[in-house]
Amino acid sequence: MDFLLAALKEGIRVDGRAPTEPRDVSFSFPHERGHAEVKMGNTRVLACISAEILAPYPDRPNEGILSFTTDFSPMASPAFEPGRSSERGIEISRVVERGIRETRAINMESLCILAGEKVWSVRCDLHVLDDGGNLMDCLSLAAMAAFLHFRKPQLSVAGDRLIVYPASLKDPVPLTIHHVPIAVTFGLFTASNLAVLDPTTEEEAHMDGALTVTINSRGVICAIQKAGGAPITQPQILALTGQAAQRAKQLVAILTDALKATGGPAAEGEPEWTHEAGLPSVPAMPAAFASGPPAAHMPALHTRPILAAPAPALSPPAAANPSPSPAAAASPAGAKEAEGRSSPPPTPSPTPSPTGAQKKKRGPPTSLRERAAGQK
Amino acid sequence: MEIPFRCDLGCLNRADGSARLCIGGTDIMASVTGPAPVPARKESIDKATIEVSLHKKIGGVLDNAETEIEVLLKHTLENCILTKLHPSTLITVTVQLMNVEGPIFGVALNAVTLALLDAGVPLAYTPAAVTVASLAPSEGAPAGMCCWPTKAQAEASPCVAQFVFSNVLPHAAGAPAPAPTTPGEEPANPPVEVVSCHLAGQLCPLESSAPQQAGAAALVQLSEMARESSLGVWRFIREALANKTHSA
Repeated sequence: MDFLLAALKEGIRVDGRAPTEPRDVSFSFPHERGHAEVKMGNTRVLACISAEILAPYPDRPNEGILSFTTDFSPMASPAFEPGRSSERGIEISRVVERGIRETRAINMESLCILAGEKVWSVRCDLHVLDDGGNLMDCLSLAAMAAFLHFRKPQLSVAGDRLIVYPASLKDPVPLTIHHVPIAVTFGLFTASNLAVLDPTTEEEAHMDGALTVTINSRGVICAIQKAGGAPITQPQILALTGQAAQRAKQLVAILTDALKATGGPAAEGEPEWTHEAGLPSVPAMPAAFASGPPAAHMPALHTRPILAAPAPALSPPAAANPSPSPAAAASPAGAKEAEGRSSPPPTPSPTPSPTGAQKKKRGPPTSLRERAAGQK
Repeated sequence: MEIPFRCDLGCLNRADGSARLCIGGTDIMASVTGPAPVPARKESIDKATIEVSLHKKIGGVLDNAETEIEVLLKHTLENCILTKLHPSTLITVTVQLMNVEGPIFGVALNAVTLALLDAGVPLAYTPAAVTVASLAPSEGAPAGMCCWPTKAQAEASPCVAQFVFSNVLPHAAGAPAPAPTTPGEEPANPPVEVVSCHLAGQLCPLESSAPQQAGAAALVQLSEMARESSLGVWRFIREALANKTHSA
C-alpha cells in the first residue's frame, strides 16, 4: 500500500501508466446482435440488449420502456456475494443508468408502436465478469456498445394486427440513438495531488475520492458523480472534465471502428480461444454396439455386479472389514469379465446381501470415499 | 460431422480458476473461487461447502429447469471435489451463460471442470460430461443418435440424455496395480463410471412391441455413445491444460 502511494507521489502508477493514461480497451461481439463484451485492462464486462413488445406505462403512452439490470456476479470478485447488491454496486449501476436514460441517449418515442397499446420494451442486462477496477466506465461503455450493436425486428401495423418480421424476411433495424454518453472516472489522491484516469482495483482501494464525468463525444457533459471523498476545487473539476471529453472522443472512435467491423449479420470479434479441437458428433463405436439392439451381448442391467464383484483370491477375514469395497473393487479386468456372464457370479467373501449387487446409478462410487475414510 | 470445442482457460483475473468453453454454439464461462473463508451459516465443519450459481444473459430469475441445472452441478461437484481436504471453507462456482444453442448442463459441467483444474482445487477424478440425443427417423435419415445435439436437433429429439463420467476407477488393496500407460498412449477401452445422469424423453416409442427391452437397449446405446465421446472430452481437457502450462 505504501508502495502505491509513494510511487504516486512521484507521479508513477504501479502498472507503469502515466496519471492521464488509460488502459487498453477491446470490444468483442461474438454472438447475436446486442451482445457486447468489453475489456478494459483486466476489467471485463458483458452487456446484452433484448427487446419485447409490451403495453406502455399509463403515464407515458407514447414512449417505449427502457430498463437496466446490473449483475455483480461472484465470478468478478470475491467481494461480490450472490443476491443483494452492495452499496457500491447500486451506485455504479445508477451512474450507468442515469448517464443513458436521463440524457435521452435512446429515443423513446421511436420505440412506440401503437400509442397507448404496444411499445418496445428494451432491456439492458449488464454482467460484471471480472472486476479489475473502474467498473463504471466499463459498464457504461459496454451498455452503449450493445445499444449501438443491437437491431430490433421490423414491424408493420395493419389496422389491429401487428406483424413482426423475422430477420430472414426483413433486416432488423438499429435503435434511434441521439448521442453516445460514456462515463470517465478519475481516482483522487490528495497526498500526491493527483487525479488518475481509469483506476485499477488497487488504486480504487487506496484513493481518497473519485470523480466520474459522463460525457459524450461532442463534449456535452451528461452526468457528474462525486459522492463524498476528498474535496477538490472547481477549476480542478473543470480541468478533469476537459480530460474526460478527450477520453470519451477516443473511446467512441474505437467503438465506432469496432462496430464497423461487425457490418454484416455474421458475428465478429470471436473471443480469444487458448485451445480448439473438433470432436465427432457420432463417435466411432466398438463393433458390438454399432448395430441393432445388442440384447444378447449385454447382461440385464440390474444384475451387473459392479459393487459386489467377487475377488476369488480374497481371504475370509474380509468379514472384519464392514465395507464391501475391497472385495467389490476387484481389478478392472475382473469387473469387465463379470459383465460377460449373464448369471450373478458366486461371492466367496461374506459380503452383504444381494441388494449390494445392484448398481446404484444414484450413489457415489463408495469405494473412493471409504478409501479416503480409511486413510484418516 | 465435427463439433467444434473451443476453450479459453484462465480467462479471468480475480477468480481463482476460470474457463470459457464453447461446444458447438453453446458458449459458457465458469469460474471457481476457493477454498475460501465461509460465513458461519453455510459452514460445514467436516468438509468444504460448495455453492453453485447460474447466471443467464437476459433476466435474473431462474426458472425451474435452470435451477435444476444448478442443483445437478452442485451434487456432481460434491462427489467429485475432495471436500474433506478443506473443512470449514467455501468453494464458489459461478456459471455465466454466454450463448445457448442446445442443452446446457453438459457444456456447463465441462466448463466447470476446466475452471476447477485451472484453480487447482483437489478432485477425486476429472469428470467429463456428454450430451447425447436420439434422433427420430425423418425423411432421408434413419433413427440414430448423436452427441452434442444442436438446438434444433435437441428439440426434435424424443430423448436427450446428459451423462457425467468419472475417469478413475478405485482399485482394491492387494489387486495388481494397473499397468502404467506411457504418456500419449491411451489404454484401449478404459473403464469409466457414471457419476450423474439426466435423461429426459422417451427411450423408445410408446407403441413399441417390447418396450422394456427396446428401452433398455436404447439406454445402453446412448450411454455407450456417450462413453465413447467422453474419451474425446478427456483428451480435449488434457490438451487444453497442457497448452496452458506451456504458454504460462
